[in-house]
Amino acid sequence: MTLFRLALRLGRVGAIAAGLIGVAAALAQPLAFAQLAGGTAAEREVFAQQMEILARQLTYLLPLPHGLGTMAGWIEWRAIGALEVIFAFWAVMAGSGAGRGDEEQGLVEHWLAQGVSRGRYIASRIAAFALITTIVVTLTLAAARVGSALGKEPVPASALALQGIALLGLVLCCYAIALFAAQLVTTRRSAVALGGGALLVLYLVDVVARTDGAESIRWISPFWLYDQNHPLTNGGTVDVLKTVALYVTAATFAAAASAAFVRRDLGAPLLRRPPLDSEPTTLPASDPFLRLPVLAILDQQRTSILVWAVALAALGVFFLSFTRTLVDAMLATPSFRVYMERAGLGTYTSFIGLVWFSSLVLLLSIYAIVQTNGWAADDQEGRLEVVAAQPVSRMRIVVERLAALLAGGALIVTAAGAALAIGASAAQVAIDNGHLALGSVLSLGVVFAFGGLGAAGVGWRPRATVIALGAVAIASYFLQEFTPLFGWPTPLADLSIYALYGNPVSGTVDWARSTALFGIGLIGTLIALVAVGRRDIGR
Amino acid sequence: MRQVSETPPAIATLALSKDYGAHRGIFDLDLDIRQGEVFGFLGPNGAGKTTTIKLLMGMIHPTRGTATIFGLDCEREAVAVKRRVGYVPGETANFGGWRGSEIVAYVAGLRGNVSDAVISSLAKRLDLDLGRRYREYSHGNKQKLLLVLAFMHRPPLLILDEPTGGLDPLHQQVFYELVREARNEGTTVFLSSHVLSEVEHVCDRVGIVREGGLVIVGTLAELIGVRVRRIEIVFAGEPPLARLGSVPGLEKLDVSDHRVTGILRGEVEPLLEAITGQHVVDLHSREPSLEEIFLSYYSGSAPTG
Repeated sequence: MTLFRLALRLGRVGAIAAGLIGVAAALAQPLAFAQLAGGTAAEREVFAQQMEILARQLTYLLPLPHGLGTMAGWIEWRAIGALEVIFAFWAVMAGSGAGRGDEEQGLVEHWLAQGVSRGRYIASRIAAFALITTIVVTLTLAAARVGSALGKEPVPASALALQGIALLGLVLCCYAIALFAAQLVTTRRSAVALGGGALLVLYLVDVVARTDGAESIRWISPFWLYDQNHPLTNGGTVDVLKTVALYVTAATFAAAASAAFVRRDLGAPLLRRPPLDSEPTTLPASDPFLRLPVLAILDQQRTSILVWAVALAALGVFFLSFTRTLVDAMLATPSFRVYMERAGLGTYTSFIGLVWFSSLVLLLSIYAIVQTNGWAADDQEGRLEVVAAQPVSRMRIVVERLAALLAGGALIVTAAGAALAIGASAAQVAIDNGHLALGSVLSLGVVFAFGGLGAAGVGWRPRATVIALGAVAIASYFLQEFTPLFGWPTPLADLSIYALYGNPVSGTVDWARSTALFGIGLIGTLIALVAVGRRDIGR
Repeated sequence: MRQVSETPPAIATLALSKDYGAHRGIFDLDLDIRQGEVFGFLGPNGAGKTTTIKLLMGMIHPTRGTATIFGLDCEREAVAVKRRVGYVPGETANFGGWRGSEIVAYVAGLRGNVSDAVISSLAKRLDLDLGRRYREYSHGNKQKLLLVLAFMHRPPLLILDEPTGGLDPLHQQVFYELVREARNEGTTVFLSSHVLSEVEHVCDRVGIVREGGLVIVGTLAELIGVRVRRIEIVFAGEPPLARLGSVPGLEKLDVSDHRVTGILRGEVEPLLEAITGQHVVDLHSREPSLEEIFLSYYSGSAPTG
């Protein structure tokens, strides 16, 4: 029981964060629907059409909608649908932490030394996560029930319960996959990369399936299995077979992870590579980049920068693959055409400029936040102390970090831009390459702004800074997306940091705003330069 | 313009303090480490050794007081200071999947003018394979890597925070050799430790720190010669405990049958007077080991001098 309580305690931060996000989304979305959807059937129909347009653009983020003119359909699509990715991310972090993170910190060795069996240990972690997830999902759906009641269109509790059973199955499935992936590698970072990567692939299979693709392999994706459940929409049901498949998959991976954990050595992966026949060396590495300022940091991050560049390039090409069809189809529909022209989405270039680049700046913000998290880890894990013990000023450390961030961002943006230009040419989508280049260069302002703010905050409150930057990125993204859609006052959209980026690809460049974006980065940098001299370094 | 004497002390601190609150930290530390000496900084866990070292390295800022290294201010001239210092931190860092060779190359790049031959020689002597990934290193190997990073540029000052943690006895000897060689070349070594034998092996002078304050500094000979004696007296009859109890400086009395042991600080004369005519069968008075001196400063109330 002590071990179980300990496992609950270890999962509390992630659970609280996921629970807060879940409850907030599930409570706010029904209230938003009650305010925005209108009261008459005609108003509801217009609203549903508009949302349908948005839904088509967001299939990489949200499931296909059903019955958007109803409270239940809205909750299923907008409130709970958005939680798929968020809860999956939470499950990956929790699974990799339980499977490798605590072991990396020596905690597992300590507990096992107290006479706890390996089987009991991992069973406790799985059971604790299952309990925590059940509570989080229950609270989330209870919030949806309360929200819908406040919106005067209560959805049936039984339907919410069925949705909860499916959602619980999905989250447990993601956790079990991440837990199993953690047995195959030696560090938490690798576990997150492998587990997260595997789930990302499975998620992308579902994304493709949402546009009627990947028919032969979509069944392998737990996200697709989950998406087939529509208990909330009118006449909707739970697909029992697919829901059971989710639980069976979760149980199978959990059992495999447990068996692997019992079998493998602590600190080692399940499958060891045979040792390479390399001669021991006493010489430093000959890689010249390691000895050069900025390039040394880029050299250390080469794999992650490559992954970011390839992923964004692939996403850009994927986006282009349906741009032409989607824009043509929408423009061919009179009611959609009106909306498209009003929203400034009437051409391929404007569609790419608004939709793709709004996603690109969000992803670049995440890149900058990940780097900020790395700076915090440098301090906590003693690497900064080793660097600061060399004859380099603290200011140089900050400047080099930001320079490397911008250089890495430039490489990623270049790869994404080049892929987009080549893809556009192949898909016969006319796009102005000059504007594309300008939009790409200016997107570095977003990287600089987040990096500067991150550098300023990381020495003061590392964890809080990373969370705050994430919140700013997400809030800014949705403010930009929803303000025109819901007809919110324009100043509200201007609160978004991305409003400073604007739409340089299809519109005119607002140099004042672009300068302001770089100005935020500069101010953050200056604060960081002052703060780094004043703070204490070390654990 | 700042005046620097021809041979400034390697390390000098004046009322150096770092107050973490709740009586934690280091308070009013005055140190004067001469160039070329090996100074041992002794103290138990939490006494303030690492805090002092981090202050010297400019990692943390003092609440008050100053610290200089070779006459350079540790705060304002931190870069120049670090050019002259090789440092082993108290805790090993986590370099994850980096290879040892990459870490060494990276740090050498930050420092500049580091000879690959010196690195190779150090790695060979410490039996460290730089081709392996950091996460595959044992604790001892991680410590060896930190030693390579500290010694590789042949600095005039080495600041080492518990440098032999995790090293096996064989490589501890290699470390002592490296320190001796460095001293012979004129390098100053500031070494914190709670391993007394290590300090006895290599140090010229020792400072003992307790609860954030320096309680004594001296050469080993001075410390051993300080008027502290380990006393053992065997009486023919019942020991005269009342008379012994009144001897100034006689502490930690332990009575077993007719045998009395204790620590005597100060003059021997009052003790001799106290036992005169008491049928003493045997009497031993010997200089205490460094360990006993160390322990004497950690028992009871803090000594004043």
